[in-house]
Amino acid sequence: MSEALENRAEILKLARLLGADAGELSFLQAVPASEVRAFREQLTDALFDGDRGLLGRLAAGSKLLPGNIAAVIAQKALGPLLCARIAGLTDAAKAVDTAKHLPPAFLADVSVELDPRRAAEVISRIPPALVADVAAELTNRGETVAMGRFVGFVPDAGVQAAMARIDDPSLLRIAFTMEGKERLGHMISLLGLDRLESVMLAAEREQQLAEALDLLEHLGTELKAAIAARAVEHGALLDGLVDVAASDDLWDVLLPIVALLPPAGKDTVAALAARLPAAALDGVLRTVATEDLWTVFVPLAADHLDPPGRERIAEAIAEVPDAIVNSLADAVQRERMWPALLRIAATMSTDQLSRIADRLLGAGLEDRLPDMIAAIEETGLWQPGLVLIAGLDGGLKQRIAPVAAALGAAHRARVVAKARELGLLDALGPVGAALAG
Amino acid sequence: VPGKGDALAKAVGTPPPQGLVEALDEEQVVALAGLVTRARDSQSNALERAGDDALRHVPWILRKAVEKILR
Repeated sequence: MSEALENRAEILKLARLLGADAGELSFLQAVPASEVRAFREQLTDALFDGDRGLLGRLAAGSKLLPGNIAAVIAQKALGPLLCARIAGLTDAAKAVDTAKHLPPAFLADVSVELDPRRAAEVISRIPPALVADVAAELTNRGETVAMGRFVGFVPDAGVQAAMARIDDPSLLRIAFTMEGKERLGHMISLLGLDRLESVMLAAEREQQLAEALDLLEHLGTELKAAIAARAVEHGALLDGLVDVAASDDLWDVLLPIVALLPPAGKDTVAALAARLPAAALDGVLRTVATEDLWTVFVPLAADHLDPPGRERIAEAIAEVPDAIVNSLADAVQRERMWPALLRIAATMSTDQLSRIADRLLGAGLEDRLPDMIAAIEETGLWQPGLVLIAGLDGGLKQRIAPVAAALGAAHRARVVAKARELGLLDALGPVGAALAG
Repeated sequence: VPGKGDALAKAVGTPPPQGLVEALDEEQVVALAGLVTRARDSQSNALERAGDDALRHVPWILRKAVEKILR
């Protein structure tokens, strides 16, 4: 999960625990999500472990009563808060038997006060129909954070029954604050594609697109690809996802999804990305480098952008710091993306190409040069390829001259002919001389 | 920062995660401690009220004995 989204979800959960408004905790936005989570768990323990002796005695006492009597006492005498606190201390079978005799509204009251970790066994044994009734009640009250906390403890049958009673925006909010998100993908797969599409459209309508991205991130590849394909049919949804990725810096979440889009969707995303302001585009490149998402980004820029769009990306690449160009070069070499990179490079000016040449080819030059020359031949993009080689500093050209000399004679002859045709042979210096033999 | 997390540790009852305290300034730590204290007070009051409500449903003749268990 993206750090920014995880932090947001943690703040919502901590606010619920503190009975505070999430806005009161906005100063926690800069704190790592893992620290907020550790604090929330510590606070939960502090709030729930006090008075354990008394609660244990109450729990032991309830064991002696039949379920229907215990239910009357629970509702009329103990109330939801005490019931929630003793739920985890009571025998699970007795707690479930009691719950069956309680109205959903009261069980909803109990649910919001419950620490699900302490009552996991009880939650897992509640019959699906009752789970659904309580979920409907909690949905009406807007208690999505509370549901997010314990939905991970509910078995599939209960989840399915509940999801049928929860509206789309609430479902999205529950998923966002869900504990144990490793189970989210499986739970969403229980929804089916049509309902998932409906949830995504609700996200667009209700402007919950960051939550939508978070949900998409947790889906299995097959379902993610299927919903991505449908998103293309709903232009506003796809536009909204790109907008929120840009505004909330969630490219690390969006780009892996983009990789699964059909070509038309990739065209749309690439066009939207290319229209971003320079600072935002710089942010995209930083994220791509940090998260090593070049295998998504390079083909997207190379194959799904019009020439002006490619020019903008090329311009941005020419301006980013060394570390980002190095990361790009590593990925291009590793993933054999030289043809795609050359298509981007083709829109760069000679000056821009010369500026990035050392950084792009410098490290591992001996390996990169033959691969790049092969890509030049494959794509016919001689101009940017040869300008890159010409742009290398003298020392690097000297270093790779033996590599150039080792290329096959026919190969060298083609390169020399093209370099001569483009007026670049002299600029290649020692490399040109080595090629000419 | 030594002492920065003291107010929060006092409110929670145990030392808070170091990374949390390090990421906040003193004013923010105090604000968070205030919210924790408010939540704990509210929970204590609610539990006390729940206990009192529970007792009201116990026949008066047994109330003293039950109160002894609860308190």
